[in-house]
Amino acid sequence: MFKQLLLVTIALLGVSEALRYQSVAIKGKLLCGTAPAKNVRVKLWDEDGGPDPDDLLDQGYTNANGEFSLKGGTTELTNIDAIFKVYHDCDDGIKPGSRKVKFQIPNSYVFDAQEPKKTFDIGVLNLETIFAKEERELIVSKRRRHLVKEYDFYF
Amino acid sequence: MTQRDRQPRYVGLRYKPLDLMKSCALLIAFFAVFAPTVVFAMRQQAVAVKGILLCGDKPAEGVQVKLWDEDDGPDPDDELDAMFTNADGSFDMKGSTRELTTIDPIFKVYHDCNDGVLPGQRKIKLRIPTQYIAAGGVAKKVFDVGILNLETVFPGEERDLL
Repeated sequence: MFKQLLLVTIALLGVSEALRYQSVAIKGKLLCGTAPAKNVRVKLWDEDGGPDPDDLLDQGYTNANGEFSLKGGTTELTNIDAIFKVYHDCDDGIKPGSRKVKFQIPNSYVFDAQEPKKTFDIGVLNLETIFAKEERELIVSKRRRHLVKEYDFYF
Repeated sequence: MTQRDRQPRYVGLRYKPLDLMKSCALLIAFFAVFAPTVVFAMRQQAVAVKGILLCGDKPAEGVQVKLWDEDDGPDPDDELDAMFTNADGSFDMKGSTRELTTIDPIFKVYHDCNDGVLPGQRKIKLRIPTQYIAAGGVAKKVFDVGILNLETVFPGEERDLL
């Protein structure tokens, strides 16, 4: 009975050690031609293979200069696959929905810590560029700066 | 009267001269309309691309970059320009070619950033939008890819072993 207990304890310890918090941060600047790409939806995801659903680590919008900064983390057994996604309308005319581009952040920028030690700088991207495997996303939430959080009315 | 006298006699052709002239005119008109289209369709097109490449926070110097026109079908792809990035990671390429259809300009990078001891190079391909293609031999606008960090794993990245 004791042997069985020991075996189970060791097994559990092994598993809990492998489950670790991993964090990643990314920053950069987006342009549409020569003008900054403002209020572009950007997201930071952890894509998991298999049954484990993907995790949204952070999301935001580019500022007036086209700059963005995202950071987040999650607890995973295996190394997280940090994916940076951009949903934009650069060079997209009146077509419904947005162009969707995905980049993978190298593993050297994913850290086994609460705070990432280095921020991945993707540089300055011209969103006119036609990247490989571009997709379309039909519903992209827009930034609403003037919208007051609902609970502010009640408290 | 003989058998021959009773039969109507056709001089030369079965068709009336006026009908023949009308057919000829139609044929000439057809070629007149379409011949210039074929000649104009083979047109000179130019494109230019520039940018800066980094590997992390350092400039990526001496990286092979190429500007290609990718053609569908039997027509082989054309290399429009090629160079190695400067000491500050910058590059500037341009080229032109004569094609029937609109060219498909592709910007290619072959690099070893974050590639360790792996044989061959990482290969990135980016397509240049059509508004940067100019008619004639000189590009009017230069497509600026921006400042790319080659550590990024770009979508559709390949490996080049040669």
